[in-house]
Amino acid sequence: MKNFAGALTAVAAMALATPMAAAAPSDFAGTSSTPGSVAALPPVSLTSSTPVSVAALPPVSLTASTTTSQLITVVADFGNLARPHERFADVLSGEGKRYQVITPPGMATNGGIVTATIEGTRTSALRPSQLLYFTPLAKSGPTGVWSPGVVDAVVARHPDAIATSGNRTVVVDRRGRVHTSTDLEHWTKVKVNLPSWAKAARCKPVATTFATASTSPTFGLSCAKPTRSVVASGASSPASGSPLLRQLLRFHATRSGFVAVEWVPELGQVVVEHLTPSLGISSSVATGLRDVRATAVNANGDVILLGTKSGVVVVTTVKGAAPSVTVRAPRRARAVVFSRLGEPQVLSVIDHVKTEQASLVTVRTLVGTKWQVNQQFGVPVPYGSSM
Amino acid sequence: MPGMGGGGLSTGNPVIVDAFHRLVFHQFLVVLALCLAGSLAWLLLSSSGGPRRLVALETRPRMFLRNFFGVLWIIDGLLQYQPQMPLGFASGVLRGGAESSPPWVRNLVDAAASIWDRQPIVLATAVIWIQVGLGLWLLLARRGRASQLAGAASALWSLVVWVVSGFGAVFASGASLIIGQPGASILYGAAGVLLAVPLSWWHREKLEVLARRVLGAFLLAMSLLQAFPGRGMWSGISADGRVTNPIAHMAQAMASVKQPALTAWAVRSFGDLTAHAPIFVNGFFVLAFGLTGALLFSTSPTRLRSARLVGVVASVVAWIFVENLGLFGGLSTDPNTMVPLVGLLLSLTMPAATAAEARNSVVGVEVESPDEPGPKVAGGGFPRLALLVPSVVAVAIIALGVIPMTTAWTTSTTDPLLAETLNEPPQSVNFASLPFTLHDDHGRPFTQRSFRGHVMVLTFLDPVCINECPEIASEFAVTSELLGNDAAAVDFVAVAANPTYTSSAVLRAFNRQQHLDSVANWHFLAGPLTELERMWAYYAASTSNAPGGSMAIHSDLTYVISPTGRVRTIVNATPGDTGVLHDSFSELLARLIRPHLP
Repeated sequence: MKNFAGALTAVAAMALATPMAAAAPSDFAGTSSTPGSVAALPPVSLTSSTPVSVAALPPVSLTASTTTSQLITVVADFGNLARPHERFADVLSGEGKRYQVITPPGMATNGGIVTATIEGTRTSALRPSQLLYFTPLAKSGPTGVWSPGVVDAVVARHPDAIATSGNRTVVVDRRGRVHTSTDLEHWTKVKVNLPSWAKAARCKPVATTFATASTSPTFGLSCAKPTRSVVASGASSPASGSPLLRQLLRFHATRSGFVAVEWVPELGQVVVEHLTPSLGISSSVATGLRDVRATAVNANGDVILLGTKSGVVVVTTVKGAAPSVTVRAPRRARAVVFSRLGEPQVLSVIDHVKTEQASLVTVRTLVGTKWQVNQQFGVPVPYGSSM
Repeated sequence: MPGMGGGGLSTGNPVIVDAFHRLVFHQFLVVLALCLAGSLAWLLLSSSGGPRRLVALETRPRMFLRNFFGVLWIIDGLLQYQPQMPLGFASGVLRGGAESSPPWVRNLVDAAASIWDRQPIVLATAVIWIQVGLGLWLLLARRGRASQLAGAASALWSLVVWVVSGFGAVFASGASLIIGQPGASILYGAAGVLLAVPLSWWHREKLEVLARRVLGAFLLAMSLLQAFPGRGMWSGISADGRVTNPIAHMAQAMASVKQPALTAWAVRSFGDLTAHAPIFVNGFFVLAFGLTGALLFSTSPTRLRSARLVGVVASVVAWIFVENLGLFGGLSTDPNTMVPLVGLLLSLTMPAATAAEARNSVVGVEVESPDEPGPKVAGGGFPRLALLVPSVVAVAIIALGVIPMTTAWTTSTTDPLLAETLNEPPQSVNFASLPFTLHDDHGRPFTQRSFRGHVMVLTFLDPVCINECPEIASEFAVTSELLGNDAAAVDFVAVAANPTYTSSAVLRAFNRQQHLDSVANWHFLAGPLTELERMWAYYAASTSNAPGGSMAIHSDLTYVISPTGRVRTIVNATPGDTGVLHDSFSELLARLIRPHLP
C-alpha cells in the first residue's frame, strides 16, 4: 500500500488568508500535488480577526445530494430531529421521473448515512449509533440492488467521508484514518502524509474524493486550531498571512477539478471554492450564508446551499465563478438537489412525530424566482425501532 | 426483541412485590418463633428468682426518649414494608434525595444505591428487621448496659442511614430544617447517643443542660440559615409567575403524591399561602425556631416550658403543612425531621421527676457502681439472665437484617429474579436440537456435532444491531465468567439474525467490538441464507428486515442445549434498561446452565 499512499494528495480546508490572495488567486494556481506531499488550499479574500476556537466550528450537515449524469442521490434525515434515537436518515433516488426511497435495508440509520455517487454506482456508509462501533456499507450498481459490506471503523461524520473509483472504495473514519478496499470487506489502512503546519494545526482528513479518471484519492482536511504556517512541501506558497480556521462542509471532484464548501468562522459565512486538478484555486465565492443545513453538488462543480442569511432561510446557488444567487427557501425546506437539467430543487419535509406516521416530502423546482411543486410522497419513519 | 423497544421494571412490579412480601412473611415467622422462644425463656428464668440488687432509676426524660425513638424505629421498619420499596428505594429515595447534592455526595449515594439495585428484595427486607429490632431493643431493654447498647446501635444505624442517604441532603442547595435537612436520621442518631451514655449520667443535671444547649445551638443555626437572604426563603413568586420559594415548592410537591384529599388540600393551601406571603410564613419559622433555640440555653423551668410549647407548635405546623406528615407517596421511610425533633425537645425540656414519682413509674435498673449518683432502689429486679432475654431476642431480629445486608455489601451477586421478572420465567422443554452447517467469523465450518459433549447456549443476534444484541453478547461473556472453570464445558453460540449482513467480516467486526474475539467458547456463526432461514424457523427466531432505516427484527430467545443435543430450557434474553438487569440475566443464565453441565 505504500505506493498507493505515496500517490495521495490532500487538500487543506484550513489555510491562511491574505487580502492579496483573493486579488491574485492565480498566485496559487501553480501549487502542485507532488506525490508524497500535501498542498495547501489557497485562501479567499478575507480580513482576519481573532482566531476562533474549535468550539466555534458547527457540526457538518449530512443532509447532502449529488447529481451525476446518470444518478441523483439525496441523503436526508426524517422523524424527530430533536432526538438522535428517533432521527433516521434515508437515501432517496431522483434519477427517474420521481423521487423514491432506496435506503439500504437491515440496519438502523439513526447514526446518519454518507453516500458516494459516481456514474452508475452508489456506495452508502450507514454510520453506527448507540452500541454499534463499526460501519455497515451497502453498494448498488445499475440494478439498484444493494450488496452489503462492512468497515471495522466509525466512518467520519461528513457527507464526503466515502469515495469510490472503479472497484476501489476509500473511507475516512472519525479519527481521520483512511481505509481502502476493493471488495468492501477487506480493508487496508492508508498512510496520509500531512505537512508539518497541518500537524501543528491538528488537521485531519474528513472528506475524500477521486478526481476524474484518477485512481488516487484526494483528501479534504479540517483542522482543530488556526495556524500561521501555510507552506507545504512541494508548494511555493508564501509562509505569511493571518490565521484562519475553516470547517470543510463538502469536498467533491468535478469535471474540471474540485469544489470545496467551507464555513469560515472568522468571516461568519460560507465560502465556495473551485480548484484545478492540481489544487490551484480557480474561483472563490463568498455566499453570505451564516450556516448550512443542506448541500448539493453536481458534476460541473455547481453548488446549492440551504442555509440562513440575515435570519432568513434561503437557497443559494453558486455556479462557477459567478456571484451566488439567493432566493428565499420554501417552508420546511430540508434538502436541496440539482435536477437532471441543472435546476435547483428543494425537498420540504413535514414530520409527523406525534402520530408517528410517514413524513410528507414535497419536491419543488425553482422556475425563475418561484418554487413550483413537482411531487409529493411519503417517507416511512421507523419510530421507536431504535429505543 | 431488537427494534421493538427495551424494557425495565416498574417500581410496583407485582412479581417483585410478591417475592418481597413472601420473604418478609417467611422471616416474620422466624421473628415470631424468636419472640415465642424469648417469652418462654423469660418466664423460665424470671420464675427461678434471684438476688435483689441495688438498682439505679431511669429518669423520666430518658425513659421518654427511649420509648419515643423505640416506637419511631418500629414505625420506620413498618414503612419499609411498602410494596414500592424494593424497586423504588434506590432511585426514588437515595438517588432522588441526593439529586441537588454535590457530585462527591451523589457518587457515594450511587455506590450504595447500586448495591440495593442488585439485591432489592433482600435489602428491603433486611432494613425492616434492623429497624423493627432496634425499636424493640430500645423499648424492652430498660436497664444496664443492654439499654446503653441499644442506644449505641440506634446511633450507629442512624449514622449509616444518614451517610448513604447523602448526609440528609445537608450539602444540597436550599437546605432548610423545615423541608427536611439535615435529615431525620441525624436526629435519631443524636437520640441514640444520649441513650448510649451511662444511665447514671442522666441524674447529673449537666448532661441535660449540655444536650439542651446543643439542641438550642442547632435550632439557632437552622433559624439563621432559614433567615439568610438570597436563598429564596423570603421570596414567593418570580416575575414570570414561577413559584420560587423552597417551602412552597416542597409543599406543592408533597401535595401531588397520592394521599387523602384532606392532607393534600392542607399542604397545597399552605404552599399557596407561602408562595403569596413568604415573609409571613418564613418569618414565623425563623422566629419560632430561633426563639426555641434561644430559650433552650436557659435553665429556668418557665422558659423551658415556653421553649417546649413554641418548638412543638412550630414543628407540628411544619410537619403537617410542609412535610405532609412524611408518610405518603409509597416510598416514605420515616415521618421526616419534625417528629424526632419533637421527641428530643419533649425529652430534654421535661420537668424532673420527684424521687417518689420515679419509684412508682420505673422498674429498678441495675447499677454499675453503687457509688454512682442518682436515686437507687432495692428490689424489684429479675435474675440477671432473665433481664438479658429481651435484648437477645432484639439482637437476633436485627441480625436477621444485618447478615444478608453485609453479604450483599461484600459480594457482587445480582438477584436473578429481576431478569426472570423482566423476561418471564424460563421454560423447561425437551426436544432435539436442529443439525446445521454454518461458519464462524474466520470462515471455519461449524456443525451441531461440533458442540457435542458441551452445553450449548444458543441465541440469535443481529451483527449490526445498535442496542440489544451487543448487550446480550456481553451478558453471555459475563455468564461465562460466572461459570468459572465450568465454562470450559459450555459453548455460547450466536447465529446471525439479519438477512443482509451475514459475512465473516461483519461477524469479525462485531466480535472485536464486543471484545469477544478472544473468548474461546464464544462462536458467532452465519452461513447461506437458506441455512439461516431454516435455523430461524426451527428456533422461532422470526427474523426479517424491516423497511429501510430500521434494524432487522428478530426474537431474543435463548436455548440451553444439553451435551446430548437436547434443547432443555428456553429463556427470553431481552436485556433490561440497566446494568443491574444485565447482571441479573447473567446470574439467571448461569443458574440455568449448571444443571446440564457434563
